[in-house]
Amino acid sequence: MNQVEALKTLEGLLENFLERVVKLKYNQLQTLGGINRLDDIARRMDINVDFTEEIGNWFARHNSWLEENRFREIEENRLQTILEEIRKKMSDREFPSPAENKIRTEIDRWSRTLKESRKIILKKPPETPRIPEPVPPAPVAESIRLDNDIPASIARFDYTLKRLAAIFSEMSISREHLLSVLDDSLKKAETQKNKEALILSALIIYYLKQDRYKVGPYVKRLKETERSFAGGGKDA
Amino acid sequence: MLNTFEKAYLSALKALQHKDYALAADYFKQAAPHYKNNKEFNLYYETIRLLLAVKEQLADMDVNDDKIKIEETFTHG
Repeated sequence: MNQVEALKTLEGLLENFLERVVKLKYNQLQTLGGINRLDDIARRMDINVDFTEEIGNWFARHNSWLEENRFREIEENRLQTILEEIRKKMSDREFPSPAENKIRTEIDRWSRTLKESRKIILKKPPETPRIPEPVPPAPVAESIRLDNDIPASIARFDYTLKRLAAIFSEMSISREHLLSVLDDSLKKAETQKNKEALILSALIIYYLKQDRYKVGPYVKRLKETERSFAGGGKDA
Repeated sequence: MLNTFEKAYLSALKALQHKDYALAADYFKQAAPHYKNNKEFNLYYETIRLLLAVKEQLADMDVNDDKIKIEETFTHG
């Protein structure tokens, strides 16, 4: 490749890049151009000259932009400023014509729509009561299907985990915080001598401790309940 | 409201759209003080300047190609 060919290749590359830049920025360019035209009108506005037709044409030409919600925040702010400027200049007139009133209405509509487009609306689906998974029956050794490949202790623990998950799901339905669930779980363990509730409480306490919660009082309650279990309590 | 620099940038992009690179470069130059820290702006501006330099170089080469080289030769006697 000689020098001319190399330069022509480079020229083509650069032109291609700039073409792509224009394509990429086309919408933004159009929007800025539109805002710029309105800005020019606002600057030229004079109390002795009727600009209603020019402004009306601008609104008619760019009405679809409002529906497309194409403005960036900075562009919206600029547009709002220009619209306010136009409104202010129009309000200096003592006897507004019907055309001016129409422009004012249009300015109001644009300002309102631009403001609304900035709002973030969070929609929440209607609340439906959570239906907990049914709590499986207590893990009685005989009721667990023992697979030849799985030791019984592992199968029992697996079964207990599933029950704990179901109990937790049931307890947490109307609760706002894990600490409330822990309190409920401890109460259940204390009053009903429920061993699963005791294990669940210990699990929650350990989990919370990892998150640096102060769990001292709950540990105390857990230990007391545990001692009462040792005194001959029975699973609920 | 758009300030003069922003209007210049806008005009530069419009000139680019019409492939009027020299005009675009002029507008970029006008807008440059406001956008000196804008990487995107600088990339476009430098690309246009490079493109114009390439075009100028190619034009020079074309002119040189058009020149007719005349050599005088002396025959014996």
